[in-house]
Amino acid sequence: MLTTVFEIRKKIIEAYGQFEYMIVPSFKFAVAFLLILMINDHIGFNLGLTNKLLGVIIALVCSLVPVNFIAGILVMLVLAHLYTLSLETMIVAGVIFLLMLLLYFRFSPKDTIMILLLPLAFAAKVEYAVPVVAGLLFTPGSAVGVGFGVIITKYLAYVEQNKAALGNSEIGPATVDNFRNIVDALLQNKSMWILAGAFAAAVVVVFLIRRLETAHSWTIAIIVGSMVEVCILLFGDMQYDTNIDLTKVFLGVFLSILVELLVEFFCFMVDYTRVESVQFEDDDYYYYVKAVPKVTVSDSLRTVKTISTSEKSGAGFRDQVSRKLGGKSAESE
Amino acid sequence: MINKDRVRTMTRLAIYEEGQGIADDKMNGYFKNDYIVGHMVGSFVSGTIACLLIAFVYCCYHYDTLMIKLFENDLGGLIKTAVSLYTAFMIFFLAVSFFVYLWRINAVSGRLDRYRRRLDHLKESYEKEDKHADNRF
Repeated sequence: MLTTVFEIRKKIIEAYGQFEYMIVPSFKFAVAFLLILMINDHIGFNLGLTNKLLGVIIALVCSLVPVNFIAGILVMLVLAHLYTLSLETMIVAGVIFLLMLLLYFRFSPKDTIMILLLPLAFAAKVEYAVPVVAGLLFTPGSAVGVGFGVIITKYLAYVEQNKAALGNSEIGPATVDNFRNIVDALLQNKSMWILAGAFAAAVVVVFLIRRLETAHSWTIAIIVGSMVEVCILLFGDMQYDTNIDLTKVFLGVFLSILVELLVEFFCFMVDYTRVESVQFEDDDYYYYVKAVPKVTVSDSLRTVKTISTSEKSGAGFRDQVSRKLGGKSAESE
Repeated sequence: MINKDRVRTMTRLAIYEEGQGIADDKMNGYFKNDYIVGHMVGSFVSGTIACLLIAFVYCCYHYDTLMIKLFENDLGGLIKTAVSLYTAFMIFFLAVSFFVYLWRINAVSGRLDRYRRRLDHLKESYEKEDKHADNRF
């Protein structure tokens, strides 16, 4: 059973290697299109931009450009929708995006995919998987990116919930009041800050544990990272009364652990039963090396029989078979 | 007969040259100090723009109070606080930038050293083969 699973894994990885040139653009297209649909569905205030055909065209463009460009295109789309609602919502979103670009992406431009996947993970109720996967695959710096991702997602959710109140202002004194209300709502959204903190802490904890030299470090990191998320959310709820739905949290964490184990299965599958420790030296150093072999499965053996209808070759085949069977079958014929 | 060790080394060299090697090659063109200082200047500009953005949000938020203070010519204390906060933030941000870029350039030197060792290994392998062929003749 386990061998079959590993064979399937190997085949999937081989297929990915073979068709990478198709899979990567398709994945980018799917992520971009789903995000565009989500943006249009939740904050689609500019009706001209909610056209599905336009969404397909933008997603097609996104499939051909690097991930950072996809993020740039989607940011423009979000800002255009928010501008249609009101200037102040767009300014606040623009400031958050710019701060993220100036303070974080200068250092770590490769983590953009995590921020793109975060809203999709929220929609699929597996948002707790994102920081753990970021800790498994990236650096602790991803904590900042994931934190920013939570702030943006929650801000857009706030705009969607309060669109009626936020959209009724014209430029003037009311704009400043509206701006103040938005900033207040953002700064006083304790559940958002606690969630961002829990995610950031989880990224760092998972990264530190998965780099330990202990056996099953990735699995331990997944479990401890998930526990850190739950503990911080519970502590935040007790301390600041954020009214989190515990059933949803536990269900979300459970589903997220399944996703994280799937990531571990494809990215880090080693056989701890065959660990080898070797010790050797050269002119300058003594080396103490611990080698953990990866799980590998050999291709299943296939027997290819060549069956020919011609008399001559048929006789040859029969001869071969009889030779293998010690002449028994040839004698019986 | 195919020399498996050589094929493995050449594959690793090719993977590096076509992937991370391109970026590393660009970074290798800098002296260590130039690279770090250049990026810290960039970080200084980014940090200053970020601070200006935060100041803009603060000004919009406290628009009324600021206007009153401006008319009363009472902005001295506020400016002093703003400058102190800006200085503290920039010291922190530039320190982070310094360590990030130092770590990054050191990582590049490590990768390039490994790349050179592999090249040497490949060269040795060819030389050994040539010597072996000469001895036969």
